[in-house]
Amino acid sequence: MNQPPDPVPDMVDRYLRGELPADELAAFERVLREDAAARVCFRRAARLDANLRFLSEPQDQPGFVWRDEGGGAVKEAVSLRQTVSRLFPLRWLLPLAACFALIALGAWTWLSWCPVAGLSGVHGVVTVLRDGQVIPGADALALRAGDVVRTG
Amino acid sequence: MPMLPQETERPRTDYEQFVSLLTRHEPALRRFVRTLLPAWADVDEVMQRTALAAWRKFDRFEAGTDFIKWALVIARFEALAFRRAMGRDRLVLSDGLLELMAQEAAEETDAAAIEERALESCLQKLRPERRTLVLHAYAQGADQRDVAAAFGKSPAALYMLLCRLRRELAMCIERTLKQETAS
Repeated sequence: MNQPPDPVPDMVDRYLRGELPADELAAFERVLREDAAARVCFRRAARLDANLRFLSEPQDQPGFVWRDEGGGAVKEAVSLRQTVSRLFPLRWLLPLAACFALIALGAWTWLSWCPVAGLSGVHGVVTVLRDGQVIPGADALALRAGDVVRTG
Repeated sequence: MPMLPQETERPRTDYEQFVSLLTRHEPALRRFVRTLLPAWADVDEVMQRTALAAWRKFDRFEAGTDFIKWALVIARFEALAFRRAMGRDRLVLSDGLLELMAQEAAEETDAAAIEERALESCLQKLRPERRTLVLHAYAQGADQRDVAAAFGKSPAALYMLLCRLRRELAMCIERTLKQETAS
């Protein structure tokens, strides 16, 4: 003769999903109170549930976020899991390369377009050539990289 | 910038030591609280309260003693207080049974850590799509209907499949632990 299926694992599952109806809760509680093996089954299921949730979390998420209930202030997260640094030991490389690229671009732009010197009171004596063309009047007072200054 | 409660009155080393201990033992604390409360939202809330209470009492923690045992006492108190504050509108076990469960769970923290490692190995034994499905379904805030749709299943089929996979994983963990004990 077949044994009836053990109802405890099913009740445990439904309790942990929040799906055990009120009329079954009393029976579930009685089983747990009287049967140490049922309690072991319950705790194992709860731990499996917690472990699955833990392993499914992105490992760079903080485990806690501080909250000061008195002042309502929020503190930054305090736990960053060590797996992040194990998985991405060179995670700083990309931002660093981007910084270098930005600095290089800025320097090139500055050298190309920024006035490098000013001339005053020497019109008629000095000629400024830019790309082979003579720069007239006030424009010639703002020299740029690559400009040629002829005197005399 | 907002400050930790009383942070300015405590040495920085206290703060760093506390954060380090709490981070290391967070999974064990979470497993413990999970055995006492059936809803994940409640577990998250009690974990927050536990972390704050532990920080406020950290000056009474003796360095070199067992942090997890100390923190479990706080978590147990916070979980029971939370359960009482919630009243009878939630379907949870009685105080007396929760006290008993908390006492027994606190004695199993070592076994629980071994189970976590065994689970990692058991997950690797699942087919990749099954493993992905389980981890998606358990992710914080995951809507089971969305997960079911993403994997081309009905919510009922997903529920049944997850039940089966949980039981497979539970049996695999038990086998792994027996093998480890035997060797």
